[in-house]
Amino acid sequence: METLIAAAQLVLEPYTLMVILACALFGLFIGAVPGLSATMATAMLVPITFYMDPVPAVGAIVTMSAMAIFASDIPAALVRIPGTAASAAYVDDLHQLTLKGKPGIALGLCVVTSAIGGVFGTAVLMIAAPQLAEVSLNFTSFEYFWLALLGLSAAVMLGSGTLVKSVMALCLGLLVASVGLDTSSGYPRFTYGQQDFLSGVPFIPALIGFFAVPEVIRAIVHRDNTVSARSISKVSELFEGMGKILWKFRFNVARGSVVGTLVGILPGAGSDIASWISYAISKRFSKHPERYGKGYEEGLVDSGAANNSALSGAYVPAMVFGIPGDSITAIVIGVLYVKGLNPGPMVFINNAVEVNAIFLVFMLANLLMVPLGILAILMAAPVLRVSKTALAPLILCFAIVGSFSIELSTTAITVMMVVGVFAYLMEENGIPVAPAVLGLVMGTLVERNLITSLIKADNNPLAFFERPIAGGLGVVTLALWFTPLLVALYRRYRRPRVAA
Amino acid sequence: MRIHDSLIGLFFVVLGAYVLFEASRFPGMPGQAIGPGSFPMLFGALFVIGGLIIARQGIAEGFGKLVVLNEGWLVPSRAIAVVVSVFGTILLAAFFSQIGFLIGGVLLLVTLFMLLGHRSLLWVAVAVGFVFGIYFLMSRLLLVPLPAGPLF
Repeated sequence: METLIAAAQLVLEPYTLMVILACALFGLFIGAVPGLSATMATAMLVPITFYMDPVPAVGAIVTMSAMAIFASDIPAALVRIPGTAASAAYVDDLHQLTLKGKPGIALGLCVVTSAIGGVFGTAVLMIAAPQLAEVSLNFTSFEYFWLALLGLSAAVMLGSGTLVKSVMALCLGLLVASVGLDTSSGYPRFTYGQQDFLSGVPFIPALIGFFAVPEVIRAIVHRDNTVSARSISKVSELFEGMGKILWKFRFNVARGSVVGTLVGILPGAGSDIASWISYAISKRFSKHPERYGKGYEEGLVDSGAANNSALSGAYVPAMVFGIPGDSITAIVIGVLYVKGLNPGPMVFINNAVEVNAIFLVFMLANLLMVPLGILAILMAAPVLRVSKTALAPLILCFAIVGSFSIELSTTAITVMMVVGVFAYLMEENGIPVAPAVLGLVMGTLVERNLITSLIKADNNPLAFFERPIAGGLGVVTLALWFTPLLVALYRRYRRPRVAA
Repeated sequence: MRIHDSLIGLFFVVLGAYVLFEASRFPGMPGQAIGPGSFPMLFGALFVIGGLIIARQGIAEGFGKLVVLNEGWLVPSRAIAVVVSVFGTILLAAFFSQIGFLIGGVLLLVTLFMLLGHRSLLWVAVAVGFVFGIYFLMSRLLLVPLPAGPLF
């Protein structure tokens, strides 16, 4: 209890509250402008958080990302362009509701279900993370190796590209992560005599490159569609008949929250995947699947709750094991290290106050979402008219300053641009960026635990399965790799028999 | 900008072969069968295998154009704006301390705004205001030593 009170004091400091409020507004703006992603905004925020205390720094990212995920529903409803990928699953339902003259209730449902999902995910995070941390205190390099490998495998399997291209993206991330002094022997790898690379490729500039530069290039190259959106002027429009709809679909809100949190906990799967899975489950079990995509509230309620609960769920593996649940937590892990809150079971003991303060910020951000979300909906029409070609040079300028400010080196700016151009080409050619980012974040972790385990086991691979949890994780990881292959072989075997 | 899968596959095969070659030259750890090259060998091999699969898929699809540019790339001002963004940033990085953020940033922003069709004086004012605003936020409030260049 004392820890909670101390944590609340940290959160309620005027400076922290001011940062939370400012980042909430920034997140609402980013989410409401189609094409700007929450991950890009997170990468851009990092250089500023670098100069803050740990709680406002992580609080800034938590609040901004939660608001951006909700706010992406606004352009989805008003102009049928999802602000971020997290709203893509139910964009048709949202827009059809607008066309039926009900944009208010569509967005009202989004803001309320997002807040409920977010609060549920946070509650799970607050309860599950410390319990898991206690269990993981007994983990050795074997368990950490399998966990990290399971995370990378899930990121590849659940990613948006083809399996082979996802694996290639992951390998690119691992290659970048291996630049610098080798952690076990101290030998410099792929540095070509450059002093700047001895400690590895600068992490935050690379992340800014991965997420900001492709969006700048896309905004410049692709046509700037100016949109005129219908505006909502009365708060009452948002809540007309909402109680009835929420009561009717109360089970869906709960299911969406649970599914979202579980998908969020899976390493590599973020809000967008949670939203799609939740929408698919909702349609599968609905009494009226034929109404989906035509302005029906049921799928909207499921997915709206799922994408925000996934955001909180993703912090469970990030805080407990240092394994990111999605791209945003991949960046957050970097921030946590910089702030001395090294992710892992010990952070719950050594930094209990700060960790609880971060949980409270989550709760606060999700509660703030309702009043600030309403404000954003009422002010949406002018934001949607913002030209992306006007924003692109400003984002680039901020990316340059952000990259420089982390390392105080111009090499960081060049790294940011080179990585960014590469990321743009990857995305244009169906090679997903997320596995590369996870490879970059987790490369050292996987390698260090693999080498340590091999030395401990005297190169005996069976030792990786001798401890019960390590063995279990190993079997799950191998099952994840080989199940698609076995299913494909089974189908090939079945086909001729069925034909016969 | 769509690149043919055969070229992408070839890129990964060459990259993988290079990683394998480099990693094979890393010294081993004393008394151990593994060393700093073991992990790069693993993903180097994956690059080669994955590259071959992608190239094979590309060849099976047939050769059309090796590089397909989408509509935006064919508009000269937009293509030039991308080139300016990329090389302008790298140039600015190379001469950051000499040019400084204030002059370099304003030059980059005004050039991009012009190329993207925002050509009024208002946009020059936006560029100047934004760059100076960022400079004072970072250098005065957050104490990041951004180079001011010859202006201060």
